[in-house]
Amino acid sequence: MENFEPKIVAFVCNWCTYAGADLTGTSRIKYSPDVKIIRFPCTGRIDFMLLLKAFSNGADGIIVSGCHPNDCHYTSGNFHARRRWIVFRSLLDFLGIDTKRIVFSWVSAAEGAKWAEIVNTTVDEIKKLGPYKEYQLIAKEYLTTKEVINE
Amino acid sequence: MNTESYILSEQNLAKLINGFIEAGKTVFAPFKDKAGKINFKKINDFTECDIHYIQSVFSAKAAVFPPVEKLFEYRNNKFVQEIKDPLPSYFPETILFGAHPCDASAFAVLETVFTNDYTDAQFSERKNKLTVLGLSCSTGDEHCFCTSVGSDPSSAKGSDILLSLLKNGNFVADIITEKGKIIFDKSKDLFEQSNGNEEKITAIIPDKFKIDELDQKIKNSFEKNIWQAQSMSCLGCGACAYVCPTCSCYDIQDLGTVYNGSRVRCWDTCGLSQFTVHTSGHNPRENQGQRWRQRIMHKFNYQPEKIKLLGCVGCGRCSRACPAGISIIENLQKITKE
Amino acid sequence: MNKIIEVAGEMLTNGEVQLVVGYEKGSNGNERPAFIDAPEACNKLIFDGSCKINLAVYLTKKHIKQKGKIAVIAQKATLASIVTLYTENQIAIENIVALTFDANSNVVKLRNIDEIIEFLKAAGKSSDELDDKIEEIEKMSTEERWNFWQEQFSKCFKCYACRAACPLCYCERCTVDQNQPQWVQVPATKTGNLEWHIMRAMHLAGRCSNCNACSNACPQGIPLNLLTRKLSQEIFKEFKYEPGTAVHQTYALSDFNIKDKENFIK
Repeated sequence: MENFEPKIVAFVCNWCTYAGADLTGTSRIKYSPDVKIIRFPCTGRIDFMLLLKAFSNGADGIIVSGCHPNDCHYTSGNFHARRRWIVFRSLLDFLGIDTKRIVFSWVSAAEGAKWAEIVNTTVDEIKKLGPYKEYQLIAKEYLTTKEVINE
Repeated sequence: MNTESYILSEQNLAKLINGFIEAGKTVFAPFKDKAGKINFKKINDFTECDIHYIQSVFSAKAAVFPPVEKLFEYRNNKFVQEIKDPLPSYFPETILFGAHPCDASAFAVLETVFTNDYTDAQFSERKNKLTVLGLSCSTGDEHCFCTSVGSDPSSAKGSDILLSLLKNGNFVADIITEKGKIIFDKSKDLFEQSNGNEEKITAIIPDKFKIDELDQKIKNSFEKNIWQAQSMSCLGCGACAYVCPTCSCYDIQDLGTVYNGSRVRCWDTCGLSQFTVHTSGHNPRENQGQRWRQRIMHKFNYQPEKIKLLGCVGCGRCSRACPAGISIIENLQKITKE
Repeated sequence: MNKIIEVAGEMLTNGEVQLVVGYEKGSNGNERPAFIDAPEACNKLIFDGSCKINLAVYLTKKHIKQKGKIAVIAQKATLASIVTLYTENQIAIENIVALTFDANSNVVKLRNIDEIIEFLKAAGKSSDELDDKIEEIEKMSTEERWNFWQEQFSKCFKCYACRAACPLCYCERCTVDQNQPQWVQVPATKTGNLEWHIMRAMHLAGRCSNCNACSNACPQGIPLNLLTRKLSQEIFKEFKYEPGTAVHQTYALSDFNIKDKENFIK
């Protein structure tokens, strides 16, 4: 599809990935503007239902990113998150939800370049996959306008 | 009007139904899904439906009271604030085909509830556009008790045309109402003369209790312990209310975002513990016994008093669906004997 | 069968328990729960292959707990549920006696958690035909799986019979009943149904006793047990955790191991 600009929602932790994304900016590294960043204190705070909310509100792709294991600002939040993602991802896969559209990563506050790479690679991937029509079709059931579907 | 009877062969029945579909009408009929359960849905061809069933899981009330129904759509941004009512196409001309007399007679209860002191526009729209081709029951089972609540397996109540199965696989079609006559007049050639003596296969549903005895007993039962005892195994889900053809409670929800979406109404059930919770946290029906009492008294005491109709048609779906195996017949019998 | 009737009757007569929670034949010929407080009434009790309800669901209900000490007729899955409920501090095990049959058809009385866990260990694992169905689904493509589950969920009317029948869904205020925020759409919309079933499976991950009460309760026959079983498998495969086999201090998703492995985090 030409000129398809995907909507990507990124759930990131404040202490590592958000700071890392900040560094990307101050280092003047260009990355796709298609991503909307949502800041959480920690990946351990990210409820799995929020990812579904992102899809039902029109996201074509999701990035979830936080501190590397052993580096969590709250010591163990990312360990809990990792467990949760392993289980959630297998459930989504079983239900036929496209897990290629959800990217998980560890990006530290010093990895400005890595953040740009994660975002740009994800945007390219999602551009190839196209808009997430299946989910948006069910999500738009009771919405009035076309705003939800990328057309 | 006088009821006129005609013969409708099985092939002509198929032609009749397919005729409706071709004419662009919505035909709501029973079908068997892959799990072997019977339910009602919009069909695209006569071959999709299965009318040889004892009872469907969910009733046909969705034809006039859908599980989720849009009340209006809204859009709200800097340039546009609007509320839009559903288009007329949201309320299609519907033929309900293959509903048993219990389901057909339930429409009268729903109609009274929805038009009693205030006319619900959407319900009325759907009801006015609904024609019911009822189907008498040729078999029943131990869950059926229509004969105990003033109906029977070949009752014409609520049907515009009532079909009854004959031994030879054809049907007798009784044209009951004006709406039924309109359908008949449009497809006269599909119907043949009836000699009035055809052998119908009609189910035999034994009496389970006497409704006047129940009525007497239940009037004085509010404070009794029987409700706690009967609801011990109740798990507090919504299955009985949702499968019931006369239950009409609904919730109103907004779906969408701040900027656009719809307000919908959706089925609700008095069996859930949160049904009567107040904002203060107080819950006047805080235990399952009180909620069970509400359900039974509503159907067998309050509704007969207020709208002069029993709130139960004896279809038995509640007992079939109950995950805890509660039998409404047994419980009503116990109340009668209290 | 008579043995259970005898034992239950005895326990009521000598005051060891005030209530027996078991199975009886309903007036429709199907099985249903029985709540017996009189010894003579124990002859109603049955316990055979038709008994599908997981009676542990009644152990967390106030109106049952109020009765005093309870004897519950338990299948293997019910025993596993009891262990999980104990781990989660939802039952007072000293007020419960589990009655079941051992491999030689003798009635066994299990009075504390260790006895229950020992019994379950000795009884061993039974093969699960659900695993074949799960494998079948896993062989499908993503699109086929999506279509399969969308078709199944389209039958759902959000009656919550699955939640009501599950012994481990004991929350007085379920997440779906909250509207600040509204996590799951209330009406039976496609989104609402998907969200509900995902949430239910996730909240049962690592806790499910694989009793099939959920899919048995569903009036539409939706195979909900496939979802919970899939996650049970996953949790066992990844974290070697099996609910109902030991008195764990936490559950799989509120615990972690720094050595947890995955292959999808970049």
